[in-house]
Amino acid sequence: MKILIVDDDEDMLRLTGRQVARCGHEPVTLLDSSKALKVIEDERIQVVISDWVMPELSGLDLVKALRAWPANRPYVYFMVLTGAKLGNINFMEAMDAGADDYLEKPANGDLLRVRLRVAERILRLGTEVNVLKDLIPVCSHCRRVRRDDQAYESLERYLSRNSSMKFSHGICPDCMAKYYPQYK
Amino acid sequence: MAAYRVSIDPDFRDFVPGYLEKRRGELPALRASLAARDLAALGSAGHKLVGAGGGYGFDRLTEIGRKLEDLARAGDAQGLSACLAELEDYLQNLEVVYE
Repeated sequence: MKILIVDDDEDMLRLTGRQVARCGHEPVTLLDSSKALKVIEDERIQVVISDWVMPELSGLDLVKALRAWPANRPYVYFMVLTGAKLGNINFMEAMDAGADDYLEKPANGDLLRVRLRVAERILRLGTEVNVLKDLIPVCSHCRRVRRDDQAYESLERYLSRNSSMKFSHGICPDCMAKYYPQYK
Repeated sequence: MAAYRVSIDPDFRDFVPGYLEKRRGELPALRASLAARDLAALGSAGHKLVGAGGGYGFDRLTEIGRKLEDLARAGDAQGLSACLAELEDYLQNLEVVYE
């Protein structure tokens, strides 16, 4: 995943960037939070790890701006990583504003790794939901699905390719009676 | 012999010497901030130690950083002075081992 790290502290940027790279992801670091939204768009960032208190654009204002983007844009997972003692009120404010996760500094590398795995799962689920809620063009007779390249394929193959669904095949009672009457 | 021996992840070998040098270089400015009662600067310095210090593996820096933040918030000049002395002692007597 491409992960944007936003922090006004260069040492934290370097550290978190290294930790993210060690998790197998591609870090993009940013000192000036006022540029964050443009970077998220230009670099197709999937996850943001953001400090909370920053001079240009605070973590709270950044997540609010991100969640105000049109719904048809890819979802960006937002993680607050802060040394500020947010307290319950600010924590709830962050989550209400659209943050997905919250970590306290200093960030333990192993903890960051598992939290990023959670982010991956959620982003993958989001992709599957988007695929499934789209209109699926189906042949009225054979029930095969028309792909983006205009070829037709079975519904099972289409769903298997575009989601984590798997199929197990059996025979319904009607088809059993029709095709295997000897097994009544 | 160094009073504080800390094992640091070898993956941070290229960052740590520069990080520690910067922290040592900031000590005179922190003492000047204390003399000028610039509590915001001291609190900010403490905040930064909390984050990166422990992140690199210097847990003691996170502890000292938290103390600095709390003392700056409380306006405790005597406590801040003692805390800065603690920070200086740690930074000047630190031995880093990469393992």
